[in-house]
Amino acid sequence: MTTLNALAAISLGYVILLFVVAFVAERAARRGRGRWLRAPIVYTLSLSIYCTGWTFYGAVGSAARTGFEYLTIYLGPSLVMIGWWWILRKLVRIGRSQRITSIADLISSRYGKSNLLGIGVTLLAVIGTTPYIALQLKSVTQSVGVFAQPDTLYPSENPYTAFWVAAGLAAFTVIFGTRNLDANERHHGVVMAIALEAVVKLAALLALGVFVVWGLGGGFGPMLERIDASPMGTWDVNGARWAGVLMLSAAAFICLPRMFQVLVVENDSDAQLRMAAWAFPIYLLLVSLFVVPIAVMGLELLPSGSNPDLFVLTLPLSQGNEALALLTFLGGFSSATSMVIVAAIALSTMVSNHIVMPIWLELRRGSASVSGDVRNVVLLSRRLSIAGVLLFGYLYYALSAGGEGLAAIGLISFTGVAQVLPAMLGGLFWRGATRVGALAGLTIGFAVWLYTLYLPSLGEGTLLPIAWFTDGPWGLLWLQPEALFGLTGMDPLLHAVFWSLSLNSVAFVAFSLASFPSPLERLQGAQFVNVSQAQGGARSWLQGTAQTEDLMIMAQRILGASDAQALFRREAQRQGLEGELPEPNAEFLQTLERELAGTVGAATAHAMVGQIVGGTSVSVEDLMAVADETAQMMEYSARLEAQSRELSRTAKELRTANAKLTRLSVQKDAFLSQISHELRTPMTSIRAFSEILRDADGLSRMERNRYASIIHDEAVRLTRLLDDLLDLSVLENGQVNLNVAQGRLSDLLDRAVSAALADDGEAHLRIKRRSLNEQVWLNTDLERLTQVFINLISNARKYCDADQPVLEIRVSARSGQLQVDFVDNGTGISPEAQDVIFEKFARVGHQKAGGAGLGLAICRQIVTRLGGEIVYLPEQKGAAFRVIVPQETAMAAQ
Amino acid sequence: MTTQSGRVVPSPGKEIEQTTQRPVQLPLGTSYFVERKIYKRRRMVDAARALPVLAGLLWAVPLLWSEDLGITASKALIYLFLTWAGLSAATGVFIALIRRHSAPDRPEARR
Repeated sequence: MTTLNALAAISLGYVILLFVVAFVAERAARRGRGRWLRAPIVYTLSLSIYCTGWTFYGAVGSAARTGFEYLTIYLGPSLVMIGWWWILRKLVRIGRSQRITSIADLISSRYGKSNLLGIGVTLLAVIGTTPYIALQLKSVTQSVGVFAQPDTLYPSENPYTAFWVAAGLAAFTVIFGTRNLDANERHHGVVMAIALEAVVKLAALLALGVFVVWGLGGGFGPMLERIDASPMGTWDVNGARWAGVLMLSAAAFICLPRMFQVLVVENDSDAQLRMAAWAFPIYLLLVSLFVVPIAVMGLELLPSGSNPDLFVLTLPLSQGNEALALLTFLGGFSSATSMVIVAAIALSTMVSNHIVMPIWLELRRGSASVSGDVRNVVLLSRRLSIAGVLLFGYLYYALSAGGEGLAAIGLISFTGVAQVLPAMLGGLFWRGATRVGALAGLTIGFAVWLYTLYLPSLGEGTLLPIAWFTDGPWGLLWLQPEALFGLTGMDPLLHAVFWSLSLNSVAFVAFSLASFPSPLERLQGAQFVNVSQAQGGARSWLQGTAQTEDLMIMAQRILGASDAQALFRREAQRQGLEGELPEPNAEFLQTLERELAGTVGAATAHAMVGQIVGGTSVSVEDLMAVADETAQMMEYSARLEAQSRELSRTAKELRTANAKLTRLSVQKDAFLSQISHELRTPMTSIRAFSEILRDADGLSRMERNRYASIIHDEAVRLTRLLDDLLDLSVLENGQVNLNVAQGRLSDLLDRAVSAALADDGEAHLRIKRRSLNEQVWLNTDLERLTQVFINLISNARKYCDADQPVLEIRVSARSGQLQVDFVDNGTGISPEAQDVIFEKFARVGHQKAGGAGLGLAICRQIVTRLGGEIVYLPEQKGAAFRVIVPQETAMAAQ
Repeated sequence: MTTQSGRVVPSPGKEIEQTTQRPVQLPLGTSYFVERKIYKRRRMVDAARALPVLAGLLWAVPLLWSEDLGITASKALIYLFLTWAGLSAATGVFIALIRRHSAPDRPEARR
């Protein structure tokens, strides 16, 4: 017979083993050698805290009492795991990307980081979970009692056992649950310990099952026959409860604080979830596989009236198999302790983050606090919360004195925490869900749950008067706690589940539709609902090297292939790796980001790296910075375009100017040879005739006169040429004095025409004038203007190549200017010559008339001096010049 | 968002070849197989999504068992545990298929 002392020693030894495992795991994790700690199988096993002491012992009891309903408790979570793609995948990703620390944190962050919601969910969780912890203490105490009083049907429980168990669990949880204050709240030691406990409890149940089926039942076939022959031989399950409890346990699976802790908070990668999705249903299957055979054999072999909740212990004990009984005891102990540890961690995180810390910060407002200060406060508040939660659980156990109400607390607790479900699912899939809606739904669901299920479960007359159950409060029949709105005759649990969840959902949706979310809520809503899209489908499957490859591809696009490869190789060497691709650690990412920032700007680089690495989501500030940089780039490129347009325009102008210069240079060369010829011709004849006069004797007087007049004529010609040159140079240097006088335009033209045609013997140029228009008074340098007119008229006389040359002189006054046009009927001036004719030495075509090419240049200088302009008019029949002089002078004179 | 990430991380096969110096297996026509892979992967995801619906249907079957049918406990247990095992296995198989279709030309895992 196993004595209590031996049992205590074995339990203690087992607990020490758990301490060692947790310690080793924690140390390995801190030294960075904890890859095996994150193995998917560890994660899967850690989920087994779903199977608590209540399910370990109670499943058999439930099967013995009510048949197959116990299966729904396991089928519900299996359904959730099989449908992992729908909810869990998204939940886990949000948990990682938003660094969620608890289910209260999830709800609070989703709805605009509302602390009120955090407090609400925390309270709900504490109220729902504490009785559950009490239940675990009860199961351990009860199982110890089995060994203490093996012969009684319902062994009494020793409250001290419960106290010491609670104290021990508090110590373990404080040591390993608040060891580190990591940002991601992962507890490797605890997870490893509960994974070990998962193995122990599964092994215990399987061993007992094998013992029962093949040791007692006579094998598989006979066992089935025994089942069919037993009181639970036919399928007799309430359909409503089958469906209701299945859905309830599915909901509770993701809403229970401890399940959320291991499912989401402790999750490290999608790979863990991918394994758990199929392996955890198998685990649940194995756990429940032998429940019915054990119940059937217990009913058959144990004296009637035995507590079916303890069959897993009493059955092997009654058969004298103490070793197996010890193993199942350890299995039950494991189930209870692992649940309590994780629940305490989850609750303490919530209590500390949403209740204690806000209060402390409020009290400390204004006083300067350093960061180490806060850290210690957080740790202390966690530790106190853990102790508080366990003390609360123990007190609940002690005060309820192991009452029968405790046994039903499992499903009541499920219903309580399931109130979070509408707010949670709504938050994950519906962007329209708001804080007000969540608050309303939670409040109403919580209130209905308290009133219809939790308070009645404490016993009629405990907190609610008995009269309320029969007549309703204050005689309001429709408010009966277990028959709300006249819905009588329903199973109390289903009644509560139905009313609490449906009113909760209706309130949640209605208030969400009616309210308007704050900007932060809308931002968080978008991030939560779109979390999968943001991370991209295929990429998330491949960790590590895939990220590096993606980074490489991106870096190549931006830096160029060779530079990017060199950078990656260098980084890989610095990390001490063989290959080309470095690990994407923080240091490397920072280096890469800096490199990229040099090319695309800091914000863009950060966003791009963030997109690929995926760990941190891109913030609004990032996007705004990207937009800003893009705008700067666009502005810069617009400036470049404008500059390039200006440059091409300047280049075009320069080309034109260059062509003009080239033409001018050609003309100058031509003129120089012309002018030397012009100067040389008279000089030659002057020399020749003066030599004749000097040397030849016997010249007649007539001959001498003729030669002398030739010399004179040539000298005059030379003088005129030099006069022209001098005139031009004086005009160009601005040294000319204007002799301003009044005169009539018609007089000027008359003088010009007679002077120009004076030596034209044949006078074959006909001049067309309109004397009426010419009656305009001018106030200008009349001599100079006449000189211009003479030049233009004699040009027409010299160059007009028509058979009957006609020059038309038109005078018009337009917009304050007097225009005098000289248009002949010749072929005009070719377009390419038009813009050089006003230059010095410019002469058009063959020099049959023998001018020096200075006339028009002098004209332009004169007109400019007079404040006017002389232009060539293209597209006339012949050559056409327009002289423009300001008319103010003319008008004033009239 | 998809387009955005697509713009930032385009994954044309050519550049992946360049970075890891893997031999080019199919010179042209590669796109055909990539397309097919993506298609297959999506159908596997569809299957993974459909599984819980199937599970719900299968586990709702006991609601139809009236007492007149005389379903024995052993038959009920065998049915439930077989569907349970089958659905779990199917989940695992689809996850493996999705992984295979989404991690294409990877010769061996590097970590």
